[in-house]
Amino acid sequence: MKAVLGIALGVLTAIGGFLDIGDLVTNAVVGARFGLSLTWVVVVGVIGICVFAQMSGRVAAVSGRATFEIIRERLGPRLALANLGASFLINLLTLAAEIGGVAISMQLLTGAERLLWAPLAAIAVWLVVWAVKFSVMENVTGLLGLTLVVFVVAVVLLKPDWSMLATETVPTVPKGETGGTYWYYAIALFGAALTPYEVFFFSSGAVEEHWSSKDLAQSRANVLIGFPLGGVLSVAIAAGAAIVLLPKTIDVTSLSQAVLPVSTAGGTIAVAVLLVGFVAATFGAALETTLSSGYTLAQFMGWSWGKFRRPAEASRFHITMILALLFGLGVLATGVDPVQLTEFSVVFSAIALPLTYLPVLIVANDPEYMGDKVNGRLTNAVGMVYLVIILVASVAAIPLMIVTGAGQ
Amino acid sequence: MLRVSQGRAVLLLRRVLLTVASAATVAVLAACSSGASSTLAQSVGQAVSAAQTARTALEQQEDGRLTTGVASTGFADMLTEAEDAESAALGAAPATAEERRTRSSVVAALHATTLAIADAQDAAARAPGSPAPRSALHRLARVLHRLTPLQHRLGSGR
Repeated sequence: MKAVLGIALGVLTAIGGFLDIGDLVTNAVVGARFGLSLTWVVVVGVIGICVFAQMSGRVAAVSGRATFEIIRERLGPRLALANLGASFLINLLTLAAEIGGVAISMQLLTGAERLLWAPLAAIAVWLVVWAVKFSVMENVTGLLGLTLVVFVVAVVLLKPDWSMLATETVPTVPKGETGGTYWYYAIALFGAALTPYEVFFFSSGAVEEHWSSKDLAQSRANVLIGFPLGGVLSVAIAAGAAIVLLPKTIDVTSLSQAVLPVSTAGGTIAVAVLLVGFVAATFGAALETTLSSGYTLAQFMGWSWGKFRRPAEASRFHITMILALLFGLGVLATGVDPVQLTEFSVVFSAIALPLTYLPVLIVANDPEYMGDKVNGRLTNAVGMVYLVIILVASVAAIPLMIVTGAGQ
Repeated sequence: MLRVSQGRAVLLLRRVLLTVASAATVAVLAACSSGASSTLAQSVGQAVSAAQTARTALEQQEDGRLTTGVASTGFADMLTEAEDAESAALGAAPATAEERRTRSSVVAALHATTLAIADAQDAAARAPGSPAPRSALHRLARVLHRLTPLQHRLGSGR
């Protein structure tokens, strides 16, 4: 019974913690412009994150060591540095976007200016990272994030023509859009679903919670049930935007616009529930990206790391996180729009993805670390298909960004 | 299948790095500029979106479906959006007399949009039951009536 409850809690937190500012913004933008014609990318992205997270979770659980430690040992410091550079920079960009997301969510909740909320959000993130137990932190934000199910409820309450909605999922470039923008946003959606920090957080979390080979079933359940259900929330965001915003030719450029489908369907109560979800999703992701900054650098450098250690025993790990938070605040202090920052960060995530994905794929196939728990044939076949998709997305992202003026 | 030696893994990752770096370099070198018509079309599209958002938000606030925080944030965001569209249109450099005429009418319509959204923002802040929101909604409708033909004429600019 305890095991079942543990799996249920893990799955629920995986669903609630699936969405971050990147998913909230990108799905709303895409739904308002392309309807549901890019739903297939969410499906491809969700399968990809399942493959990626399942491999890195298994590496951590079987070896008892975090991904970056093994990558450095297995591939050598020079190539691991390339991996670290890409991951760390994207992580910093994402962290800034997430803190901006918390600030916007608080502005939506209170009406007070977002720039006032940003430093408070960063301090709150630091306090939680410093003082709150890993499992408490993960479960509270994940469970509160479940309130984003209101997006699904809103779509049902909007009473769409379901058969027409289903036909809209056929991949086509809508009228008024170009093939370039369609593929640019396909890459953005893919990058939003496959953000590297999620994987590093997931695998480092496995070490934080002292997972072993015995916990592989729970890890699999969290990933294979939780993430696809989280993907349903992504599709619901796009569907709401396609039903309410697309007919009015509203292009989503701010998070306040993403609220309108929910307010149309469910009024102020639904909006209040949604805003709790926004705060939980962005704050949870801010915690994860902050921790991921510490994890990646500390694991690469061989420093003592982890929330399971007292801060004094992992001082460099904690200092890295404080510096990352200050960097995020510095980026936001320039006045950059967090939504635009998010749009760029998801595309850059896609660009950097091969550098984070390939090493994990190699390590997951190494019997020296994995013993008999190396990738099976099916995982490897899917893993190789995704390696190709990730490479194509990575190579095409910057040319498409320039040709389309970042999706204009 | 993927049991590769450290040397091969290094080579593989180096190739990935090279490919990504080459694509990035080529793309960064490929300069991209858009003409005045495209800028104007995008500005009009931006203004339509901002005006429609403000109208929807004001209607929903009047119906008691939107919280004050979301409404005030939405109006502030849309005002910035309309101002950005206006600045972009003012910055467009028309090459022909026809483009100059188009720019004048676009800039005038965008300025009217900015004022209409500011009006909606003020109206939303007034006490419930005030006639201001109804008047602001009419003004937004008039602005949209003015922007729509321009949008049809200029296209999406995408």
